Amino acid sequence: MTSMPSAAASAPSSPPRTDFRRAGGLRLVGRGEMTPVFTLLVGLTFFDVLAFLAFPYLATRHLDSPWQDPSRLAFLGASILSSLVFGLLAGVSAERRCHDPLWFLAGHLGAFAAPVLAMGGFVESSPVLARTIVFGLGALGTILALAWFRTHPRTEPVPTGPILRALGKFFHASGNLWFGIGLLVLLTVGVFIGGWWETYYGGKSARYCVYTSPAFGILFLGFALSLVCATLRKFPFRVDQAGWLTVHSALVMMIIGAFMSYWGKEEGQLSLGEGESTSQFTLDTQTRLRVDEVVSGPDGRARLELVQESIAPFDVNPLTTEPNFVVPVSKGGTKLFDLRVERYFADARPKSGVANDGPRERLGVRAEFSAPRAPVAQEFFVDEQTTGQTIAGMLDVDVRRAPTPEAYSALLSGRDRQGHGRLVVRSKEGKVLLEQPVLPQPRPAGAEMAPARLDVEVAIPETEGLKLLAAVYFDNLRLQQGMTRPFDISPGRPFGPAVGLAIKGPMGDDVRFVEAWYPGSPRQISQRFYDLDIVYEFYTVPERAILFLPHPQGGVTWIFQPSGDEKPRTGPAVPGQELALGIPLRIRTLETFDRLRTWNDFEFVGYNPENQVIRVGVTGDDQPSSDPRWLRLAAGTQTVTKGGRDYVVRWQPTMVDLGFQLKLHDFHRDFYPGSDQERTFESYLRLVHPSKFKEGVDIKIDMNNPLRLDGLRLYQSRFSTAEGEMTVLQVNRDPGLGLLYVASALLVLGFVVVSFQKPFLRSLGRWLDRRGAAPGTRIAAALGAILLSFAGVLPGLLVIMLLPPGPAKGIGVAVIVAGLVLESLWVHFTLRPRLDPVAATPRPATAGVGVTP
Amino acid sequence: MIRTALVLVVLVGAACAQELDFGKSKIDLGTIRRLPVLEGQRFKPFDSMAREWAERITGKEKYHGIDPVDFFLHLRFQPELARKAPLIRLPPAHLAKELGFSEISQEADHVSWDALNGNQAFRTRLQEATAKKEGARTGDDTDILRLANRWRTFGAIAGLEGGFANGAEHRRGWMPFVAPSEIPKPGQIYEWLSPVELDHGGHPPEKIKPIDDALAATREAWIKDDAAAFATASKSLLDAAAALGYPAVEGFAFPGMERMDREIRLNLASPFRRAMWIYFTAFLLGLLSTVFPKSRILWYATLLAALGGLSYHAYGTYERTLLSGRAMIGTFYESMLYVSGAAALLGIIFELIFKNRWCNLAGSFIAVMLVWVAITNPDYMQPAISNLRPVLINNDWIHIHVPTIMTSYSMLGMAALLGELYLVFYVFRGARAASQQSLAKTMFWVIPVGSILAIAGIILGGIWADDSWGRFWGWDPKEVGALIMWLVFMVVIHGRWTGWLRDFGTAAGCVVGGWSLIWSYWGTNHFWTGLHSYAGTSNSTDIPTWLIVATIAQVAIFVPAILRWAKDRGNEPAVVADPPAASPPAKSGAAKGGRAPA
Repeated sequence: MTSMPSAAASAPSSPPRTDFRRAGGLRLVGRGEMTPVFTLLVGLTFFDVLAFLAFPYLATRHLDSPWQDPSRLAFLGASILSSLVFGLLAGVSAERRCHDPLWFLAGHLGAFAAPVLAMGGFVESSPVLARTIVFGLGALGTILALAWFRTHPRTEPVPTGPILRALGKFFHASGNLWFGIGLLVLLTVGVFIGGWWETYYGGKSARYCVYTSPAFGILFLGFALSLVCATLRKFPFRVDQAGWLTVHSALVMMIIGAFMSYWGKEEGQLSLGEGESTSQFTLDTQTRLRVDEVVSGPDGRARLELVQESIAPFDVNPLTTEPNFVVPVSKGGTKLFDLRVERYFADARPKSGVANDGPRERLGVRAEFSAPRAPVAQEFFVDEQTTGQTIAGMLDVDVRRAPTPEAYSALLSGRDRQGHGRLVVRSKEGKVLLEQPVLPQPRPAGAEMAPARLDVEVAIPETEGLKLLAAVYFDNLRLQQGMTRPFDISPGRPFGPAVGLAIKGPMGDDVRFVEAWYPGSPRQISQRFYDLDIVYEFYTVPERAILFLPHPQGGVTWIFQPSGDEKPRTGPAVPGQELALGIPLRIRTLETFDRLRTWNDFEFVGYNPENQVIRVGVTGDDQPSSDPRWLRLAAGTQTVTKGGRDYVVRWQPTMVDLGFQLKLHDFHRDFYPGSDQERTFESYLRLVHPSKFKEGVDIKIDMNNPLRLDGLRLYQSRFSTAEGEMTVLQVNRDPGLGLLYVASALLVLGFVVVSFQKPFLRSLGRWLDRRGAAPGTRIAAALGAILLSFAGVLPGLLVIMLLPPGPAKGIGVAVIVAGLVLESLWVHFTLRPRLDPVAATPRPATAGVGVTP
Repeated sequence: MIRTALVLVVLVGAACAQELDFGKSKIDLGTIRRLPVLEGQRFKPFDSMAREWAERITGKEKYHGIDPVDFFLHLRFQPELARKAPLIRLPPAHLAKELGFSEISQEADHVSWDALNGNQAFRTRLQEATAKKEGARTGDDTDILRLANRWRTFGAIAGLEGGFANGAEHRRGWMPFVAPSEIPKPGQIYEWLSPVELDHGGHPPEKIKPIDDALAATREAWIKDDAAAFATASKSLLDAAAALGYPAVEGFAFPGMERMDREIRLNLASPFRRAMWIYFTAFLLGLLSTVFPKSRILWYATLLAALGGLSYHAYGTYERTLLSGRAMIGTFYESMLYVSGAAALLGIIFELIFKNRWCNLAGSFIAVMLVWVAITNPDYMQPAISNLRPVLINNDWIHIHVPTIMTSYSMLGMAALLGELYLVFYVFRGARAASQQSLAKTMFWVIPVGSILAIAGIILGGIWADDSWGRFWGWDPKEVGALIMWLVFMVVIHGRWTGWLRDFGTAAGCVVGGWSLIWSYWGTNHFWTGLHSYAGTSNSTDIPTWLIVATIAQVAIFVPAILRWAKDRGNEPAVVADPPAASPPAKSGAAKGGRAPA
């Protein structure tokens, strides 16, 4: 919009030469119709944006297409803009010289060439040339048009064609205030829905499903259409519409800025440990499925070779957690297998389950207990490989497996209840040679952490003079590095019983620690000199405990060991039946497992992307897995076998190049005095940029000083100490931001002008009319009025900038408001009466109805 | 006498607490008020700490008129009696009933520490509430946690539980006035010790002894109700504490006794409470002056009353800003006081411009309501001067964004209230009455001003967000709430400019805008937690009682107004085409209203 004709229609300068009327050189058309040049401008703008930007972008949204590349989008945007400017130039010139306004298209040639150039790959290879071609085409078209007008002069205007007229009427109607109000109401409702959506489904989902949804896109495009049409249909513009025009063009700019952000925004994270360097960051908004093949390298070691990487096109959609999106994986044109994304949970919790189809014997019991006064029975699960648990705050429950039938009967009878088990020595063939009970002596006072003494030395039968020396007993053996002697970490509580022993023989002493045989743990067999297998069978039942153990003939038995000298109770554990414990606590077996298999799954928690997982199904796998295959974002892999080769599937955030390299030297944090709150996090980095800092430069990023480089901003966001000190920088790029800031300033200023300076501007307009001011003067006057409002803001801005940080800055806000008020008052009571003495006197109370400003 | 009578009320409530005597009028608390403490990361006089916790525990600024310091010392020095007295405020009725407290007494809304301590239902409920994630807690859970906080603090102050119950009787209880000899390392919290920990402060015994003795003497004098001895003992306690010295952490030093005295003065003045009553007077006078529109005296009286309230408000704001070292906009409580003050001020300014008696009425009504809500909800609002997250204080944007958006709230709130007034009087006077026309004109002058401030505030918030979070607009619930409010007022403005909305329609639109304002200011905090949480509220679907009352009142205003509108349809005055400043407001007000006193 370079030429902005702005002469009043009723300007009493010179009488029209023909029977048609002009304003600012443009022919005025009938009521309810938009000037043809502007009709073309609006129509082509929307055509270009939809055809060259929106549709290709949406069509290639889930692909690594160059149409997703911000630089290509920027080129197209710039091409559209320059073509519209040239087109407007050509169109207006044509109208002024009574030619067909369709000459607009001559200036607009560049826009049609731009997508062709983009598809040909010129934008990437020679950006300057591509831009020159587009710009040159527009210029050439305009110059040719101007040359044509010179050689073919006309005096009568060309009548507007039916299509252009219809379009003109349509656009005029689109600028209707009712349409605008309707859109405002729709937007209010939409935004309100978005707020509720966010409450239920989280911010990510709200952005995906509401705020960046096609419906919202159409709403914003509609807004842009309404605003642009409302503005252009006001032609010929008057000086007193300056504020109105400013506000509405600012809103159009905001919408353009929002679309630029939508098309070009990149948000992500960058984590760096001290000493590490990187030249990439991870996007928050896009993830990828990556398949690598496991190949053996030249040195014989396995490594991964990329097969395929594709954008994962699903997002938090609360309507379904089943994207059912299929990714065909192929290599060199041959299809390998299909990956189907069956589930996507934004926030998931690992969930495990049990089944009775395990490969090995493993006992597990699921049961429930109800305490005397507890209303609800609670479930518990114990199995052989995990440690037991305490239920109802008083009773230990565990699962054990007796190593031998003798041990089983010993357990059942409670014989060794207070004992410490026995050492069993077996020959290489498995024959029991010796059974020696472990009977520790009381510990001397003052040496509680020392092991209890056993001091037993017996000859091992059927050997050549070997002797077993059981020296010491530990309730809980702890061998700590740096300490010469092992010690007992919890005397009196046998959590990790062990015996220190030696086998004495002709070849010297074989000294070892034998830890207790423990369910689930591998047998402690140590063979150093002598081929003997020594097992420390420790199976005492703690007081007030229930043990489940497999019966040698099948089934599960339970033992309840009460406190005191009462006889232990026992019985079979049958699912659905209660255990006859003889105490108020009631326990009911629910399920028993003898070949327990535990499986891991994920369950849905919520829509906040915290612990994101997907479940993939594979069709065409040679060794199909019975377990569901889960992939956590940026963690974990799944392996698929096909044709004798292994493929590794991963799910990762998209990595984007920074364009430079960063290395973290040091991370530092500082606290507010007397508190545990961090004042700053500071990352000291070395930056190497291929063109700007070739030699590298040392920089610091802290909470108040982001790094701004190449349109990227890197903020100090947080830190993590999980694996050493690691800094987390937030990275973002937002091409629409500059426009947004300019538009914001214009919006507020224009709002002030439109609300409080309308009468003044009207007086100013009349004053200019009386002097027969040229259009240029009028534009200057209108801009001057806006600048005047800005002048009212200036003192406050100065105050804010000059005052020290802190509450005093609030004074600046008050000064801004006061400045605006004073400026308005001055304009009204001093300037306006001078320009327009008659109008400045108060009008009578009756006024016209519904005059749109 | 009144005090004694009130004490009797307490005594009647507590069967076991006959000896608990709050009527110790002889003792002068002036000295002990000044004892500096370090609590909640802030140096403050003992008076402030006592006030804060007495209010939190009892829910009242002065429970049965008892001085908070008096209350605190009773808890501390006579715990055996205090634990049996019903002093801890119960949660809302249905929860109290759930805990079984309503069975004890139908009327009592307070419970004794002992009764709460032995209540198994409370403990179970507390365990459940604590186990839940922060976002998953219901309003009831929050109430239980607040009750638990009262219960624990009571126990700590009285020295009934945990570490505070150790040692000699006079040394028990939570009262952090003993400065340790060493300053903390970076990243450690600077804390002062309670007398219980006297021996662990790293002080030599000769410095500890005076404190120990003075404390014992204070307690003894208190129990014996010996005014002279108490004065001496509390003086020596202050001196002994001061003798320990105040080791200064760089940037976090004890500000001196002057500040303590200043804060006590502010506490005793309680300016916001007084301002509220004066605003209320102004509101009543304003109502009267609309009934007697010819009376100049009433107009001046209204204006003077509003100014009086505002000056108390301003004094409080000034002192509080000085004491906290930051602008009074950091917490929800402070923002409410800001909005109410701004409404009162704008009411006065607009009244002086328009002279139509409506602006001041609306301004003082908003001021009364907001101050009342702010000072009567200690749990929700937390009126104590508190430290802000340093990240917030050291950011200039808070001082630019928050006042702008808050002023817009008070402006648009005023527009909404003028709309309500228009609807109320519309029923009686119709649209053509001069007073109604002047009201409509004022209303339409206020909307654009408020809207400009609102959009400026929203944009400034965006700039702040871009500056600190790296995004201008993130569709955060609070941002969305403000946007909705602005959009509603935009609909009203555009509707007015098309001529679609006349005076009645504009008024109704403003009322709708007012509800969107309530939504933006409070509803987004209360209902729309989403990812972010603000101002100490939980994700809740509870509808508070006041909202129901307000909705009913709103319907009661709307229905007759709409009925009258349906009757009068088409008989309305035409819309003044121009935006507000079409004619100088002062003159037009005088010309139209015809009842300006000047």
